[in-house]
Amino acid sequence: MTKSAKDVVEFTLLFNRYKTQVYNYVVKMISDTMTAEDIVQNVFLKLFERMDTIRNKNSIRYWIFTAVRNEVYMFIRSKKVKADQFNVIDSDELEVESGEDISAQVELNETKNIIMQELNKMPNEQKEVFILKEYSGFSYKEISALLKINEGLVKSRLFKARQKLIGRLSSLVN
Amino acid sequence: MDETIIIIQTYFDGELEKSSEPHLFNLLAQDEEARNYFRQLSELKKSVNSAVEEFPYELEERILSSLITENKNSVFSFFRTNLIPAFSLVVVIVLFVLVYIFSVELRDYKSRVEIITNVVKTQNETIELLINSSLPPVEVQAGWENEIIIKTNL
Repeated sequence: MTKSAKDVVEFTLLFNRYKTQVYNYVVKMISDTMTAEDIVQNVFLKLFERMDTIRNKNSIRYWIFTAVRNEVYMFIRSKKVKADQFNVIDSDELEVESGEDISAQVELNETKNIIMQELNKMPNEQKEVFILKEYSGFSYKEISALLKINEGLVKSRLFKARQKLIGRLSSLVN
Repeated sequence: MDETIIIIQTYFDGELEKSSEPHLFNLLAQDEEARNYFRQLSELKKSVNSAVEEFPYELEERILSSLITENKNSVFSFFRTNLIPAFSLVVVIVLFVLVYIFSVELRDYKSRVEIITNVVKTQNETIELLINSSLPPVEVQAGWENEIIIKTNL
């Protein structure tokens, strides 16, 4: 079906609102930037095609994340992503403007890598709850609706995930 | 999971009700472990926020430009998938236009025929009059008993 200019504008607004949340969810779930980009692109194009069929405009975020989850789990099932598979940024590739920023930049990337490493060690259920909460801005209620689990379980998984990360990061500081 | 941890976690997630905040501050004032967990969670939040990935510009460009392509394709695919109905529609429109043109022409032709008929009729009457006036006076003679039955006044 042909899309009008209004549809394109509406899509662009939605895209700008959710792009970072969706991208962070996918990248952190699968730890593969290239595939993550493909998944994000597929989901947003699917959204553009089916925008007219989504009757309840308030549930668009729910629709996007359901579609993204399906793609992510399809990828995880097909590739059986290894726990230690993550993108380590080579320090040679860092774009640093001045010498003083180097240590800050390295520290930042180290923190990022440690978080990714620790997330990859977690079971998917814990990891997903943590990512949805911290990187996609979902509330307990929204996570429970999306994952079809109760709020108590959401809080408990979140606590476990945080405990692991706190342990890992504090050992780094010490 | 004990209640203190749940409250601290809920506070950091922005889901603790305002009315429960004094309770949290009381707990923090009294409990060393709670203060410790609060500090750890605060550090974790900072680290997590620093690990947010920016949406890649190239990907954004790729998605938005493929929208335009998709939109163009959908126009072509409309004609591809609806070729027969589209063709029928065109034929119907052409026939409708032809019928309209012919009906206008027919009306015009009819009025022209009427005008010509009237002209011919008038001319015919004129001719008849002319022929009649050029004839010699007519005398009709009766038989041998009545001399003249009719006599013209001409």
